[in-house]
Amino acid sequence: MSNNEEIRKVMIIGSGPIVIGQSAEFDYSGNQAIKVLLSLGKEVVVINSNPATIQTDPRPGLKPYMVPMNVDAIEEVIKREKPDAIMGTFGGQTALNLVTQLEEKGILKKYNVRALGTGPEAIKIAEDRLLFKEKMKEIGEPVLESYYCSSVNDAIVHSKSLGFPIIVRPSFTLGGTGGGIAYDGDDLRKIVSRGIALSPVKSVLIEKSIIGWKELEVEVVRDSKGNKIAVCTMENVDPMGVHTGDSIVVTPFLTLNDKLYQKIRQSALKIADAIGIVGGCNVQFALDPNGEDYYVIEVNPRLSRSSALASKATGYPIARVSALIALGYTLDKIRNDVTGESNAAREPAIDYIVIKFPVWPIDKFPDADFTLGTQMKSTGEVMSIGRTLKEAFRKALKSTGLINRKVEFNESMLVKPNPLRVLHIYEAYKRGYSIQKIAKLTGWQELMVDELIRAFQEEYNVSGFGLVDTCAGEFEAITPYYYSKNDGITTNVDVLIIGGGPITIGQGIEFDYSTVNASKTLRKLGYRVAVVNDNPETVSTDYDESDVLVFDPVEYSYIKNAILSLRPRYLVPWFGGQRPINMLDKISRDFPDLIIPGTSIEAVDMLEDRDKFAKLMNEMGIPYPQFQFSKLEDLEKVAIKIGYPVIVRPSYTISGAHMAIIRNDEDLQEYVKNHGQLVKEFLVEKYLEDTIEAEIDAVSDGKEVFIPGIIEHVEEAGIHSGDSMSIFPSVNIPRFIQETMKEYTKLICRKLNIVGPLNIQFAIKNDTVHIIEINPRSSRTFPFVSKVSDINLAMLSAEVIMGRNVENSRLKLEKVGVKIPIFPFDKITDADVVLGPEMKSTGEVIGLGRRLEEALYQGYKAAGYNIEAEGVVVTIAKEKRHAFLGIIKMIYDSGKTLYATDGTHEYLKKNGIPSIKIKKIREGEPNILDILSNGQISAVINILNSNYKSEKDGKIMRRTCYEKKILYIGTRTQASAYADVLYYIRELRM
Amino acid sequence: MEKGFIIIDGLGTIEGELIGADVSVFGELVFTTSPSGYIKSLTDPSYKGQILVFSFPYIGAYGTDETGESKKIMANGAIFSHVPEYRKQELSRFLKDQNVPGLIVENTRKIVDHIRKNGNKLGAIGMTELIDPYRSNLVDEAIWISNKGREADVLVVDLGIKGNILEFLSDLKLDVIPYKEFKNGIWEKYKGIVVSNGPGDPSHDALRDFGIELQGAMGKKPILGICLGHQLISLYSGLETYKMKFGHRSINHPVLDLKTERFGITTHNHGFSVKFHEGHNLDLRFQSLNDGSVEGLEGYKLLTVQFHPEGGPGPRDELGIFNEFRRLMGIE
Repeated sequence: MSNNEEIRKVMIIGSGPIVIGQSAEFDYSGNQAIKVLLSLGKEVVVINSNPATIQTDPRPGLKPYMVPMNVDAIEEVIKREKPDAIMGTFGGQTALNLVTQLEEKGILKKYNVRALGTGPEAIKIAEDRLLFKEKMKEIGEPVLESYYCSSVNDAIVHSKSLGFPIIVRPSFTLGGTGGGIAYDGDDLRKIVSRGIALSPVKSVLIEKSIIGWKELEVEVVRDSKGNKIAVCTMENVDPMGVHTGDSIVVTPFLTLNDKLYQKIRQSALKIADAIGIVGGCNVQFALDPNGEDYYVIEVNPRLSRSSALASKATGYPIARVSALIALGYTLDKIRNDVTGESNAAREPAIDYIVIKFPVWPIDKFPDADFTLGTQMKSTGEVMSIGRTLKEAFRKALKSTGLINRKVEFNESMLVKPNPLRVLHIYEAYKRGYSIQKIAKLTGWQELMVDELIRAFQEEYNVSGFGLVDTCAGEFEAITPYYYSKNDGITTNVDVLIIGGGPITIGQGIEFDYSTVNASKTLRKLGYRVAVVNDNPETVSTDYDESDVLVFDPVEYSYIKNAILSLRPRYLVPWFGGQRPINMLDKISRDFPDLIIPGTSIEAVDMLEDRDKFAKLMNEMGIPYPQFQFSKLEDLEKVAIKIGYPVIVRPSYTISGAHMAIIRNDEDLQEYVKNHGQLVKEFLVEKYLEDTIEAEIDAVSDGKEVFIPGIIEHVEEAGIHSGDSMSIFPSVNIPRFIQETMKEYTKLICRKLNIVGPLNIQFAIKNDTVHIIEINPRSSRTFPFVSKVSDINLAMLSAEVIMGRNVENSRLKLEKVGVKIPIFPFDKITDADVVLGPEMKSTGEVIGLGRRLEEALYQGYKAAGYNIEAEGVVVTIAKEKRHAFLGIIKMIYDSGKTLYATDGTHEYLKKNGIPSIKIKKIREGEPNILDILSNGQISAVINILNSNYKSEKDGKIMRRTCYEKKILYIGTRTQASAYADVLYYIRELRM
Repeated sequence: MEKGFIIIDGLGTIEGELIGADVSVFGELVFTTSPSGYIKSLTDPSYKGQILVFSFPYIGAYGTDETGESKKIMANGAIFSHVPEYRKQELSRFLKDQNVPGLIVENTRKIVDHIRKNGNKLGAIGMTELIDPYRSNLVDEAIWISNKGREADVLVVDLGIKGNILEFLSDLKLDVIPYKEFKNGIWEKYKGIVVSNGPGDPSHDALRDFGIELQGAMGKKPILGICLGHQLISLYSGLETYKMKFGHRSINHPVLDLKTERFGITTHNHGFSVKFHEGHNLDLRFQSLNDGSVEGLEGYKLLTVQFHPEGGPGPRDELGIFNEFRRLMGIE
């Protein structure tokens, strides 16, 4: 254990913003490592640009740096903090790549920082496909024939020996970004050229397709002495061809006999040995469903989505054990926290079945192609634990809401992997398809088809809990980690907190952040706290983040079982986002004696019910956008009555699904065409144009209200608040307007006796403050505001609902924070990139500074924009040019080279600003897109005239910008902020 | 659905769905947590006299097409938590063909908790009388193979051997004999001796003659003892054996090799164990990382293991036992 003693300070690299392929699982893994280090008395330095993470919450011994996740920024922190060691295997591919770069650039050596855990050599073997293949051949493990290609031509040449279909995987990209399956030469050309462009090392791997084979995974933990165990085996229900992140997965292997089971397990252990893993790793296999042949597909030499799942599925904390191993402990010397008596050397056993079910943003991108392949498209997942597979399936169907969803049956949707395939399977069965036929069409095992169909039809009684204890009852367990089942055990708690469920667009990691902080706070106040959640990627489902963990769907029938089996005095719904709030009516009806501390149900109802809300606003004399409910057939009448433009949405919605801005009759027809099938009852609301949007996050005790400041949106109103770049505290909104917003907030809190957290959204038009909506719960911006203000709003809220008073103190903020949304357009490649009232971002990064420009600069870098590139592309609609002249001049003066389209170019020339003339897309080649692809471009300023409607060129440009990580600017506020940043950078240089 | 019941000492009657044969059986109640290899477990001769409880709730998932550890089901009966409907008939037929009853009871966790807290208990499916199976010589009911060729190198003694042991030795020329034929120095012409696993109490009188003959072979020929074989070698070299509270079963036990200071994951199936004391002429070589119990000994020309290096079901020889035995015999 010499490692352990020498090491005083450790740096942990997180995974940055939530994107498809890297979700909250790395906050969970990193946080487990942090807990280990702190418990051993180490100092911890955390690097993560994502403010909504628990790992960036300051605590004794831990110093978070919310800086851009790049080598330069990390080197600065290393210089300052002088850590003895660094851990790069807890923050996904992002962290692994960063530590590899730090190593390769000699930075670790320069500052004498040791990389702990799996070493750089081992990582290289696992990550470099050629080295990996060589290693596998050396130890006699079968690998697929494959070739690296750095050009389309290479790929075409090699395709001759491979034969189609061919899998294309770009090197070093997250979640397989840019990969695909080519069925012919044309496909291959298209996918390879896209893959090469997206790969940071400009190459792709092509290999023989084994679509239809069983896809298997083994989670291995190995210590520095060479001891190793297989913690968990996982069988993908969807066969090879679907990214494992998008596959339904069961634990353990179910359809393998012992011979095959052991063959795969043994191979996984052998591979971990050969590579030299020190800590956790994930090994993926393909197995011939009709024979015994298998291939090793890949190894992730780090904690992963699967390791989080494996930990939650078995109760075995892989990240914790990996952290201890990294410090030099061996498996037989690490205590098993769950049973308390044995050690971490035993392979877990389970007496239930676990299913992981992905969650896709299909409702957010109704036009996008969600055929599943090698490119991961899901934003999150649920895990369900059932005594039987069918029960676990049913829980997953309830967690995801699929159980209540209907589809129009289409046989092709059985063949083509897609997010709703399970519904088509059930429909096929109802139409008389045999299990065998469905299995054949889907590539699923017959057994899985049968179990799924039973799950749709059968109801399973639950009463009490089963235990997740790593050993299926062989040892006494001391950690209460439960799932619901029939004839189970019960216990007692004081408080039940309902968690946020799966990560979807609109319901993100922010709610898990609040849930964890609430649990922590209530435990500190002396309450015995239970948390219910069904998302395996979260910190809140770590077994020591609550007194009692219930891993079950955030769905009423299971919440009801939790209430009956835990007999809590209090139920806390305020921290898990909208999902728990939606159950409040049922809970208060069925359990009238259960105390819901905080805001009353009546007040919640008054804010959620639009009519009551309007009445309240009228009564209080607070302006709000006019609205009216409408049936499908009356939509046009109502829209005209309110007057275009209007926002139309379903009368009930989470985060703007099926929501659109309608400017005229034509728009309305299109909206009805797209959404009329799914929605029958609408809310039509006046759309306030040319407004500034702002938000307040506050904590109220009914009398006093704590308001840390105003969050100012940089995008114009009409763009979902979750997609808007935000500044906190507001810099541009006039003081008197800010005071009005605060005053309204206080008035409402007192009027409704709001106790606990709340969020209010405002729109300001011509100095008049309108309230758009009020949510009496923890909001998406709670972590962001907490991190900038250094006041943990979730913790404060938890104390306040239990009776603490809010002090009316004015906060002096010393920092400015900028929150920049991160979009999934590089993964969902045909999604509409134009922002609107539907939220589209999956995550966020933070930029912090003493002044706005510094914060913005940090934020841009954190979001991955190369602001310092030399060129700026400008194309501005005629009537708006005058308003932008000053800004463009500033940009030019800061030293940038301007590229302008025809009209803009002439206009700038007339006003004495030189620019290089470029063609618009429709004007032929080379054009603006070639500049974006080849040039060193810092930003694109594309200002359209106001009655534009998703113009085609604009869309292509936006998409290109997202793919190339170029800052896209569509509003004056953004342009001006950008110009300020350029000036700030110039100042820095001088 | 056919109804059935099991009576468990100290727990009472539990009803369930009967599959397989509608016959009454008794036995000692033991549980395994293994998720795979249920056919191997059912046919493992070491389960003779026992009713096997599968705590994993998905037995039968891949059908019955799996090589057994012997030619027939050896467990007296089986208790399942759940059998998937799609495969239920197949598993039921497999049990029925061999006249063995299976009972699906929903909450096997209750039975496992009972055994963990109170030790292995007697049970009976379809009858009310609880009979102690250890009274009879279970080994006689478990032996199943006798196979002699010409000029074999290794003598394998069947005390209820698992087929996987033979598979691991299949590159060698083997003679397999039932334990009763192990007498009159029959072992002298071989390069080595394997003493197999088997059911029951090692101190049973019926095994005494065999034990004494074994004593004679110790130190003269390389011997590998597995499970019951290990217990008998220990017993007849002067160590004591005892009945454990609920034994070790399943396929996930870490065993430390005191020589290499590394551990491996191993399959276990034993209700008895060896008491070791310092100063004995054999050395303690392997130890359980779960409870510290003896998992193997080493001596001159001697290697014994309490665990099952052959897996079946479970990990396949992570600690390299069969190769070490080959080295003892001078066969590489």
